Amino acid sequence: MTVSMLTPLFPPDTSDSAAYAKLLAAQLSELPLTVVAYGRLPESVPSVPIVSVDKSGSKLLTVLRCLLALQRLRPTTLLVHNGPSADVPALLYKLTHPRVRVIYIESDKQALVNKSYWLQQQLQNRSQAVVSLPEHSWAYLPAEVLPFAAPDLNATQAQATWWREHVSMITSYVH
Amino acid sequence: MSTNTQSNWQAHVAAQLATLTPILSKRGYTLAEQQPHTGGERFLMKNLTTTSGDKLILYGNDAGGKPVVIKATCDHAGRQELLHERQCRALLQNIDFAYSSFATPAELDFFTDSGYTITVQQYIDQTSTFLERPLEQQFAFALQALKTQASARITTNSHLRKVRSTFGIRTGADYLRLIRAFVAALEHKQADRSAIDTVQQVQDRLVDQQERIEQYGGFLTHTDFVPHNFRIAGDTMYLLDWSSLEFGNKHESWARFLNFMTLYNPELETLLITYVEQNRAPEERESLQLMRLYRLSELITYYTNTLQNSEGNLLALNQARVQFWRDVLLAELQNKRVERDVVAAYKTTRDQLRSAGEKERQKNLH
Repeated sequence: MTVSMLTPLFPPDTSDSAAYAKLLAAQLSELPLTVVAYGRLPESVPSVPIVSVDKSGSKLLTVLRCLLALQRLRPTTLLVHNGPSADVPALLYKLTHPRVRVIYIESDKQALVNKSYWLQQQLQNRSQAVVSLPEHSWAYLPAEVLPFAAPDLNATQAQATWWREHVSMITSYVH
Repeated sequence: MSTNTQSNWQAHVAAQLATLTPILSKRGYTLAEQQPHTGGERFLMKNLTTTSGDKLILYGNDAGGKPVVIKATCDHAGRQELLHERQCRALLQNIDFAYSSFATPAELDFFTDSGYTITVQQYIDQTSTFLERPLEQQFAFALQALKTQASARITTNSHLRKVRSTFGIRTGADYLRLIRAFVAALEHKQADRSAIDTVQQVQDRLVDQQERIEQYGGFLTHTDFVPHNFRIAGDTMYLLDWSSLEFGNKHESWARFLNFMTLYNPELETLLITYVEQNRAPEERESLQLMRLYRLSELITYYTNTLQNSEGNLLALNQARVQFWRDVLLAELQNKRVERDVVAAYKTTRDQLRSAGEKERQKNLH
């Protein structure tokens, strides 16, 4: 069993989707997981190797680089965060490796309403599971530690519960 | 030398105001009697790492009596700077890879007349300056503005194509080139050996950790992110001087701000550093530290460059500034904050040596 997580956004990129992808990688660190992230120098996650895919060239070249990275990793399970730059190589990989189990995660809500609707549909139709995240990111992204605000212990507790269930659900699809 | 430079500047300002007054009057603008941004040490100010032209920043009123801010220049580089600021403003409202946007004073007028390029902007009235506000508000406003900058990042070629003809772009290699230029400038000016050696240490650190600088590259950053470029009205903080926006290391504006707060509000500096340590990746903390070292080296070089145009009390003050910022840099090289009594001693010296004109210019500035 090998697991890859392909994500268009990963810190230092700043977005809820990037922050979620890094947290999920940390939560899944006990799996034989490799993150495939766009960008030259992603932030590190303890015990999780990260393959970075340079996207400074043409879109075609970027897709080829990503496909090549997946080809080298040969995942048996592929977690895909939505977004055109992940949808295309993931779909191509799935078409050429039908046995791979795809888990499609709708982590970037902005990208969901954009451009690659047809591609999303094609990939989702071939996915083992399509995972949606709660509407508001405060439900799963930890609140910042701020000097003039008391921590909301109830929210922290609720998030811990959400993550336990979320990770359990995702790992149940992994093979 | 200083007397000449200062009196030349004063004559230059007087001549420009005499020409500008009727030009502005034709469009219904009148100039205020007191113009704080033309006095004090303004004559010495010249950016080290960005191109800035010769321009006047003036207070006035429009035909209806509303206060306005007028920027005027007859200098080629000054005109370029005003046009550049305008382009930055227009582009930033429209780029599709930023998650949030800044508030900025509205542009009310832009025209050329008799060789002058003039922009008139809304004056944002504020009940108190940034530093007069409670610490909690300072923290919240600063953090929000820093987050807004970080929400725009160049990650693809198409992003780069959209902004590169308008914004300055600094890569890891550019920061190394600039720190080398600081060392060369200090040597050229025959600065104190200890200052050169300290900045040389920074250069070595930056060379060793170039990858960390590049890791946080491509972010929108305001190279002069300090309170005199903020105006606060209600819950909104307006950011001024858009010509200082560029794409570079995410922590360049953080570093400028924290170095400023070392002197003006160490508590806020501590809060923001703690925030980064508690909420961001360890790599971010390292990148922030590298940028602080870089910006402190820039300050030392800046004040060393002013020495040749200074004399008397101003020369003594600028020498004290070089020494003070070197003390701050030495502490930061060990990831420590400079002792508070060093800050207090420097402030006492500064207040004794500042001219009356500069004290006037500093009023309500921050």
